[in-house]
Amino acid sequence: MMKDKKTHGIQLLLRCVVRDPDGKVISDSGRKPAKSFVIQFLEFIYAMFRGTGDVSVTATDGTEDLIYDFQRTATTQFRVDAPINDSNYGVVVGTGDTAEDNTDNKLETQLTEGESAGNITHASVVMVFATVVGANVDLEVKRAFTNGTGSTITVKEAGIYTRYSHTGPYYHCIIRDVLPAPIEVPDKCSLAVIYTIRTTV
Amino acid sequence: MIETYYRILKHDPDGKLVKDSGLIPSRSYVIQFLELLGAIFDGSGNVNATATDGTEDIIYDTTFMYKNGTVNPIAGDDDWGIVVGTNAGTTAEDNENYALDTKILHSGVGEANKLNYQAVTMIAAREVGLNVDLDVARTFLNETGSPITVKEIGLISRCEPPNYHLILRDVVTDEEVLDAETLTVVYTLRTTV
Repeated sequence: MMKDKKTHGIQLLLRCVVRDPDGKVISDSGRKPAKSFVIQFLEFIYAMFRGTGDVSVTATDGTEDLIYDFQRTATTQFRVDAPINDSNYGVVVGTGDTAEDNTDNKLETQLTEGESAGNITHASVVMVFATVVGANVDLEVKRAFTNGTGSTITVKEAGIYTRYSHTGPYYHCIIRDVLPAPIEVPDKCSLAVIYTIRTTV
Repeated sequence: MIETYYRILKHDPDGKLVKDSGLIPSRSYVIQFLELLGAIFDGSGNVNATATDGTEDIIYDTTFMYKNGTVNPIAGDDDWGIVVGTNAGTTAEDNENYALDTKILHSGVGEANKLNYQAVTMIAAREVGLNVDLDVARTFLNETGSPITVKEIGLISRCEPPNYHLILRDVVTDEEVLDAETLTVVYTLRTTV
């Protein structure tokens, strides 16, 4: 696993916790450095910094769609707070293990909402807003998933998709990580994926 | 992660490069940046954060996206964008910094202890080798007749109507800008998978 040697900039940490149906922890990866903000994140930041003009970038379906529309309401843009049973945005997981690339626009093989093969059940996204935690400032984005398929699911990738909804809606991948090690989620068990975005002076 | 660097360049009056610091790791996102990002991710309502004047003001306004998080002022505007200072109080970087210690103000007519702020320029996010880089830059002219020493730099965002919020602050090695020289500060935000 790659060790994060740098402390400047914005750190991204990923933790995965598997629990049995009674809530007992089966495995806990702890917070591990994640690498993979992809290009759509800085494309949005650039658009926001500039504040004029609309910006379209590669969406999860491979088309060029709006990620930033300066004249529209802010509440329709760059949202990650997906509700329960919505696998279109927020924290997402999948079974692909192709190495990350700066221009990834989606997970390789996303587990979509449901209880059939290729599915997983999505809880709502929960955020813990920016706060000073010791020497750091942390912003957490997390989501729980439950396996109702009747078979074990092996999760190998995770990420965050945003939602633009004034038109569309359009979805954009801003983070994709191949997990340091595959995580098995037995039937009826849950997986919590916690992204921490951290700054430290 | 998002690596962040600053680079400081100085040019003499003939445009000749007299210093290039190269890319130096910037350590100092302050809390307002993640407060803004969290507000955008959540999108449920206006969010206040500590502004550069110390008051709690809106950093995220739900009405129009263009109101939020801009950093690209025109020339002559020292309220936002990249700013520089003298750090007269020798304030160390802190997660909760909300202003430069001692910002150098703008003057277009060479007033003492002021710099002539040029417009902020940006280079959009693009692949550069193995990385994706977003550059934000600003040039400052010393027209005072005397040297000015820059000891801190930062990035301030604007939220209409307007409010200003510090999102980056770095204490830097003393940079003496001689009369008629220019100082250019470049922040690079970089992602690498």
